[in-house]
Amino acid sequence: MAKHDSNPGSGALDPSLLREWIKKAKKGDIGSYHRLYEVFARKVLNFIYRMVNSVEEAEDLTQETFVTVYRKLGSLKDDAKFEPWLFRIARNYVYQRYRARTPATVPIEEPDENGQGVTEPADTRKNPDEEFQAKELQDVVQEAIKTLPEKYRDVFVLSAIQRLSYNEIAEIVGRSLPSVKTDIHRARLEVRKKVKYYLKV
Amino acid sequence: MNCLQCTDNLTAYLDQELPPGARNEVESHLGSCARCGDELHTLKEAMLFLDSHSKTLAPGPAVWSNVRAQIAALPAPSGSGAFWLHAPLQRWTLAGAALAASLVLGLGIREYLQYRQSERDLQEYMTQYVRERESQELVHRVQTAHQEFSDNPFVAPAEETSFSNPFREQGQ
Repeated sequence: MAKHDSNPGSGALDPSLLREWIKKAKKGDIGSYHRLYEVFARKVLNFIYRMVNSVEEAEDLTQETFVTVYRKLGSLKDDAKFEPWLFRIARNYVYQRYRARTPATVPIEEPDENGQGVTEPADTRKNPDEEFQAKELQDVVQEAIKTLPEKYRDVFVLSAIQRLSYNEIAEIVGRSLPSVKTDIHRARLEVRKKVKYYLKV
Repeated sequence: MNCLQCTDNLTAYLDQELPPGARNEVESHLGSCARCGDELHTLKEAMLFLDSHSKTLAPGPAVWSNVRAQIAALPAPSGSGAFWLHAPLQRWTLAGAALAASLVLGLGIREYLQYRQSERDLQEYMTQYVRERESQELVHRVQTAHQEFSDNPFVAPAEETSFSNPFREQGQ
């Protein structure tokens, strides 16, 4: 089960180290692939989670993404493009899931099949009131993303949350740079409209 | 740069995605336009709000365990040479696939040849049949030619003369 984490970023990564892990992983070195997984799994999981709005589905699709990435690693010609390539595969899984079901309607707060809610480690720095408010604001953010038009959602998440460059995003979604730039801007305006009330809180 | 051009570029400006020239133009416009300055401020605030209140997940240990279990059974993504030389399972799969493809191709060719043969047989039969029917028709017409006008009251029956039928022998 996914945990909530306060440290989303993978930090600055030495590109030569990354290339070395990819090279070794291509030869079947699972240890190196695990290092790649450790760097990117969180980013992929959070991207997918924001797209499908369900932790369990996000974990399933993250798993499928990393199995597929390993299987197809040999076809990656330019190792420097690993990250956009990885997100392209993750995005494909998201869209496959969209096609297979009606739009996401299961928020993570709903009880699972055992009647248990998804466990969220308590933040010891916050008192119950603060924790409640933080959770409410997280819901506001998730709702703002969830209700974005599908066309904007992926470019928005990739830019605002995953912090990928516009060029990388254009490569992932297969659209032109100006089109991506416009959609990101429109998505930000939409999101701003949705969270406007809370900006003063 | 006018206000519309400026606001269209504000998100890219915040994301540091503008080329230096456009960036300078935006900054110059912002220096003299309070309205666009407010627009930038609220966009920035909204993004800070998102940063502060985004729920961030970390994958549970089961995710990697499942990935590892699945990839352990797979061949290396790419070896030093052709992949089938390094993967016995795939080599057999490839051989099986080649055999199946040959069988399918062979059966296909045999079916096609049989089809062509039956087409030729049918054509031959039809030609023979039409020829026979035509000759029967001809014989019938010759035999019934003299009766053609026998029921017509306006046509006098032809008198058979000894020279009317050059092929009939005298006395018949």
